[in-house]
Amino acid sequence: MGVLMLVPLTLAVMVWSALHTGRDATALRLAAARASDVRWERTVEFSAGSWLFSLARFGLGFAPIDPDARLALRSVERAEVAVFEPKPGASAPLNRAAILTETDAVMTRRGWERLVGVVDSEQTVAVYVPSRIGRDQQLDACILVVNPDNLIVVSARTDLNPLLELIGRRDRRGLLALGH
Amino acid sequence: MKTFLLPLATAASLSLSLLHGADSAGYFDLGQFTPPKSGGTFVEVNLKGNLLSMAAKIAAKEEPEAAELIRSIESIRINVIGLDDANRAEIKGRVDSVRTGLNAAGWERVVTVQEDGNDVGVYTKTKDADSISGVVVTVLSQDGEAVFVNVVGDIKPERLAELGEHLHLDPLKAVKKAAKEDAAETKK
Repeated sequence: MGVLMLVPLTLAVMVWSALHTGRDATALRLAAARASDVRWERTVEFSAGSWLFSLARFGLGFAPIDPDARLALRSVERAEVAVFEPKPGASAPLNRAAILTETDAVMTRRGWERLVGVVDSEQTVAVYVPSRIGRDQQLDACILVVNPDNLIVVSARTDLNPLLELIGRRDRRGLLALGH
Repeated sequence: MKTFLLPLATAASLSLSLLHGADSAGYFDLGQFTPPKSGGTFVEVNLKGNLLSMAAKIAAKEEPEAAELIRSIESIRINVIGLDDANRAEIKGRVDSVRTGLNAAGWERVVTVQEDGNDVGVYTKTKDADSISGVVVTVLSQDGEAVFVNVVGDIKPERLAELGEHLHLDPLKAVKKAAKEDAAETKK
């Protein structure tokens, strides 16, 4: 009976995790929302973990897709996206200056540091990477974009090896094209 | 056990400082900046350590010379801040403070431009006759922006113009000539 319960429970957890971003992306989103002085409501939220990408790679292995597209898919190990809009009536101007201060504090505590920060009259953009990046070819990143219409958080892990192979292939094709 | 702890701790702290460049001779603490409250421009870029190594590997495929240049760099910090009535005096004070600090720390001012409302200062920290361990650029532009840049690494003076092109920093192109003249003086 316990084993029978495990299957639907596992499926429920997988579905739930596919519809919610991970802790770091969620913390980034909450910090930005708090600092922006605007109430936000969810439009889109999904998370594709390594198991889902592995499944996609396995399934697409039988499909006649472009080899470069297959390589590009191999370079992404997981991805999370959350898109929010201001709640109706929540039209207060964004506190752009405060957003970076708040998100920096939260992400630093979680072991991330800001690689890029851009604030202008339209939006705030921040890119965070782990404070300690290993020598292997994996790269994690959390990206935040806040403007009066949207609050977007994207988190992804990429494997640089297939990406480098893809760049190498495109470079050779470029040389071949020049030869003709 | 105790005989191992001190060298281990020393090696760990050395490797940490190398990763972050903070203790490198070419590093200069520009301080913290906050976005202008009026919503003006604010750009901050911090590149260092293994991220630069990854960038070099990606660049190596199509631009091997650019990759070699990136490999010679330990860290890059760039700040661009829009000036408004609320922060103009403070940012100008910060520029003066950075320049005073650089002079006190033995950096050489190799480029000075004050014309058409632009105030540009480029400072270098010489490592030896053939290389520079750090570059700091401070700009107050007539467009109402302040720019602060610190590049740390083992950089050949003749590659500074190339670095300026990649980072879109015109003042760096003038450093090449000034640094060569300075190196020739050092050799004498």
